[in-house]
Amino acid sequence: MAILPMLRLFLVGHKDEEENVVSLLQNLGAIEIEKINKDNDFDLDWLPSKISDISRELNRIKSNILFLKDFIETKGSVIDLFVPQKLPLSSKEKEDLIGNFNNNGGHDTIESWQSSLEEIRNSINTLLQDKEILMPFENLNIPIRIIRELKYVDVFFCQIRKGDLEKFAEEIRNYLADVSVVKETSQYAFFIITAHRDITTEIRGIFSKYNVTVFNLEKFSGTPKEELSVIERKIDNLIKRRENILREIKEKGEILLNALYVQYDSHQDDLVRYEHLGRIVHTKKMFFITGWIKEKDAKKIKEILEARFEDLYIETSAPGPDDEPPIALENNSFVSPFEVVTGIYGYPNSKEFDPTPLLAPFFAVFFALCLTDAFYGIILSILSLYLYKSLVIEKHRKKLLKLLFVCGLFTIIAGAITGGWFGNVSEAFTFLAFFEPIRKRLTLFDPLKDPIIFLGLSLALGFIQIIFGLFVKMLLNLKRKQYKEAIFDQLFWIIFLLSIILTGGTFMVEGLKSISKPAIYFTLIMAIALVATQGRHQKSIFLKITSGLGSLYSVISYLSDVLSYSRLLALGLATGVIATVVNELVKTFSGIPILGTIIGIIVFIGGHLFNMVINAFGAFVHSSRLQFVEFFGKFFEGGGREFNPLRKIRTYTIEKEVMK
Amino acid sequence: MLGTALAILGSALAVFGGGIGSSLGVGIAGQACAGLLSEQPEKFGNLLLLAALPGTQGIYGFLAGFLVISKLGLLGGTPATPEIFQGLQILFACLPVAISGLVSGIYQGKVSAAGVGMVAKRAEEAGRALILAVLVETYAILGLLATILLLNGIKI
Repeated sequence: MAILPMLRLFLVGHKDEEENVVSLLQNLGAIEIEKINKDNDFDLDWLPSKISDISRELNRIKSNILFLKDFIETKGSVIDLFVPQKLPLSSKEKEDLIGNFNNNGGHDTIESWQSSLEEIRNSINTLLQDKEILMPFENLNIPIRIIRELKYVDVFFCQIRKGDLEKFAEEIRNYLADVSVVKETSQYAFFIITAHRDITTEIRGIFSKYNVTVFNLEKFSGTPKEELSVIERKIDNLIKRRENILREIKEKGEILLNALYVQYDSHQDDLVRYEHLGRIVHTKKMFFITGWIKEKDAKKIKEILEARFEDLYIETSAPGPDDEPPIALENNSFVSPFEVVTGIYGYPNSKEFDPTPLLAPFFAVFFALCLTDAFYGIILSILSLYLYKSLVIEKHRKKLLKLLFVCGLFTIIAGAITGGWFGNVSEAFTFLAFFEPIRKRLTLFDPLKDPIIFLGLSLALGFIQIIFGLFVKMLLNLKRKQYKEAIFDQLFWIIFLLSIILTGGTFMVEGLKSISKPAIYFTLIMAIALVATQGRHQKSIFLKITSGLGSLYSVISYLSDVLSYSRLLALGLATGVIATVVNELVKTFSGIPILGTIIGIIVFIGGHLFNMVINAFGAFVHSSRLQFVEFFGKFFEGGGREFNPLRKIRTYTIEKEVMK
Repeated sequence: MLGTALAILGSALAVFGGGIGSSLGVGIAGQACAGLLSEQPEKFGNLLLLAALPGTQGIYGFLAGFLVISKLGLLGGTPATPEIFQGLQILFACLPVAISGLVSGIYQGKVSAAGVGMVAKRAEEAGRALILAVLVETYAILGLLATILLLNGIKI
């Protein structure tokens, strides 16, 4: 239906032109190059080292990006957390950025910033440690170098646990050493010990006995006060240096960062391109590319290539019977957003058709029934429209937003039918009572009061989708000329399932009771027809009958398929009830003057936003599940490979031209 | 008044059954996500959904609990006074969502955690990991549905 036809493409040319050809192919982004298993190949022996060079450069760029990113304030919002935005640039702007980058010293500048900052941080840390050591002895008025030069006396600067101080002092005085305490904190005491050099060993023994910490002040020379002021000055200088660097980063950083983004993306392109060179077959002088191209692009691309390269041989041909071309989907603007849903399951294989148009209406309706709130639908649509306009990412990645927009519109209708407008907002708040009559008039049924109607609707939709799935499979079988399967496996089942429902219906409706007998007979005949045909693959007559009877058991699986759609009711009710709870909660605050209004507004917005997000998410995944398990199970095989042409890859930037 | 008490017990069971299931489930999935986030913080968007998925059971339980509360008229107006048998009926009606929520929440958490492993290797598989986890949720939904239909049928 909407799988684009593909052509196989062959390109043969001279090795001299190879890089240019592949580069052009990458710019065109329309050809998928197939990997060929080669036995003996005149490969490009420079290729591996080239690839590793590029990877190394990429890593350098990446680490510089990570460094700079921390210093540059971005206007990023919560959205960036989920969808990192890209930088729109024209090719002129890119050239300017790169030029600027090189003029400012490029990577070297950034790396010198990085190493300077690192060095400053380390120096400051060391200085702070020194400061901490010196602080307790701040009141000592003798320069440290004098202490160090004393001939007969050793001086120790020490710290001890307060509890041990007394015992320690007693013991040490036995050795004719002097202890003078200079500072006490809640836990520790700091003191200076002066002792004759001859007894140093004994003194050290006592130190270790009492766990005394001895500070090494050898690197200082002045008095502690002088030294402390020197340290302060050094720290100040370092901080100033750091501020200068940070200012410089702030000035130039953003431009450099943007240039790094550009470089990253262009190197990434190079990497991809060179990796693709490895897929190509080479002879001594020639190269040979085989790949896939969309049929609609083939003519134009061929012309472009032929115009640019004279000695290039290009041929396209239809895929052979054993070929499995990659899959590209194309649908009209209503259906194409739903390709997101198909993509989650997997692409159809090349012998199938695109199921997206078939699931689109069902998905939208199911989503709407799960959300069932008109205001949520309005908000969802507006929000996704806003994001669609404002997000700076590639267009094909915005399909989900389009999908949510369409589903939002459906939700408005579903909400109006079931009377959901922020739950029961106009009923709950008296100042909104003017809206109540409008809401009542639009409401077809209240799911909370008549859940059975909602349940019936859900199951009916499910039944319709399942019959539709069987119908699609029947058409597929007819197209493949498998007439027996089409009639026995699908048509019979469709008639049988329909006749069960209709027979049930004749009992419900008073006027139809008269025809319920013939309806039962008809259903029985269909059942017999199924028993007679479903066992046709078996050989013996006995097996034919038993496996035919066994196949009737499938009724149960169809029944459970249909019951699975009851989730629409549960999810739909969940939205409405939680919305009502939020409104009730808000109402309880109304007693408090002024503050109550403020809290009420906050709770109202927060509560409804939470409810909308969580239920929209539930609606999305559950509607998807119904497509994948209940619907696709009837006819869809999948297993196709997405068309993935050689193209430019953008991580951080986006071409301005592409945006338009 | 015993009737009211029984009905309230039912409501409480629904809320805490779903709540326990969800807390355990989100806990399991959340731990797996945190592990991956330390390595690949850019996958936060995908992972948040996987971690949040087992949280719905708690909501379903709360939903059933609230339906009972509003049925009893405890929020405002004159509260209904159900007979003992009616209270028991409400209590039993709450069991499907309470028990299925409790169990499915835990298992959904495990499937989600396994899905995190999938996303770790291939981010583009996030959608499929979600769908697998949703398969478990079906039974919590059926439990909720049974509870809603039962509650709807009980007349006070």
